[in-house]
Amino acid sequence: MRTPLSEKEVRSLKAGQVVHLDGLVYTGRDEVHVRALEKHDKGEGLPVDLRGAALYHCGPIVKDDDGGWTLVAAGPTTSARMNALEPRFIEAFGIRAIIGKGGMSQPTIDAMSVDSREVICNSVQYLSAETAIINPDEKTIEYVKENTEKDFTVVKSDEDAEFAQVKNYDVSKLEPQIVVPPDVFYVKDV
Amino acid sequence: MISPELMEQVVVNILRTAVTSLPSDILSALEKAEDLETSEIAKTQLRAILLNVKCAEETSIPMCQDTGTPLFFVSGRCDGDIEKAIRRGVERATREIPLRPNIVHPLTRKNSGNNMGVGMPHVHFSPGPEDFVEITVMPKGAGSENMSALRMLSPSEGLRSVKSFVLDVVVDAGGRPCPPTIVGVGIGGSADIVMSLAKRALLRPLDVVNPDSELGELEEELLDAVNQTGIGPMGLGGRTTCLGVKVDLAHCHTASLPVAVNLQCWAARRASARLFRDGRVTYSKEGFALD
Repeated sequence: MRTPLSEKEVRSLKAGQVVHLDGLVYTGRDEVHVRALEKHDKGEGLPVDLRGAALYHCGPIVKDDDGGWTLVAAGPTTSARMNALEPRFIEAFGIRAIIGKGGMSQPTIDAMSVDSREVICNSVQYLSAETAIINPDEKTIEYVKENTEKDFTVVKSDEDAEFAQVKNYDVSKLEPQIVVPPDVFYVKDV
Repeated sequence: MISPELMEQVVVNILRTAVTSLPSDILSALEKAEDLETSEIAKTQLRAILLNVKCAEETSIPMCQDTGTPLFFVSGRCDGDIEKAIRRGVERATREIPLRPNIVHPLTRKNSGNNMGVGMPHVHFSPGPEDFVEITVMPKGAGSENMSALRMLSPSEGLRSVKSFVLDVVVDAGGRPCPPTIVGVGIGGSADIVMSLAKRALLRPLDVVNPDSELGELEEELLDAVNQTGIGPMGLGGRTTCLGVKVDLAHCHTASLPVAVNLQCWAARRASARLFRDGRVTYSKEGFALD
């Protein structure tokens, strides 16, 4: 595939597929995310257009050759460092590929709004679960604080809790669907 | 007495060897893993790793941009200012190889620019009666080091909890420590001793079986369990999450059961040299035979 990438091209990919990328790739780590988002928030543009771009979480070794930098080696760095900023970065600049290492999936939940979490929990209950919880984190606690003046207790699953069944789903692959009234089991793809 | 200049040069040499090539035990374990994997994605990752290592060795360029925290292990005849020679060697290696200047003040994050700082490079000393001094360098990458964990278990929790703690650490780390990893485990001692045991365990070559047969069995059992997690090369799924588990123990207080895990990425870099009093130097990436 060649950058810039179109939405259609990217949507045609399957998880686990090996992709060879050609064309211009931008590198950026934590600082780039922070600075670009600051500019974005101020309504200032970036010097480059990142729509459809590939972003490479790249760590280099560079050598200072009398004022100029020479690249010695470069490799993917821990992508989880960009967890907190990446959802906004993707949304703000429209990048379509990330090259990195270590994965970013749990942070998808962390980055989910309380609304999205409620939808997931509610949906599970519609499908006859007694209850559904996502372990409360700072974001949830913040939300509760903003919405009640009463004292509350945070309940989490025990660290050594034994579950009757464990099933793993990659929530980053969930596609939006619409429930058509009156039956909650009647869903349509968007 | 060994000249400080020679020692400095040896430090530069072993650092260069360590960051640009892998010891043969690690290399052959990676090759074996590539052979063993059946999924295309796991094979692709291991092939990329092996090709990268080959390129690094041929071009004498570091195999990973994270050339690590400079950790040294010195044993044998520890006379003269070894620490000073190591500092000078690291400073020179940072310029000449070059290494990435990784060392910063922990709070201000100011980078010294030469891999020096308070307590850095770090040197573990184990003086002995030998007629040589042995210096080993382990440039330790942050990606795997950041996944380290210590747990002060209650003695009644016993071996079962030790095992589940190790597995929890590996599972939580997922793809972040750049698997296939080597898992260093320390059991016993105190909080500081146990972490040091876990780190030193990583220096034991993969093909050297634990001389304590019970620990040897534990290593095998843990290796098997870790590889059943399916985390796989670079966390993208596969049979090889780990190349080896290395366990070491120290006796501990009757009220304690410390356990520590230190993970090592696939770029398990280490190199050693022995400096004799007559100025002779011998080098080894694999580590010298235990004697």
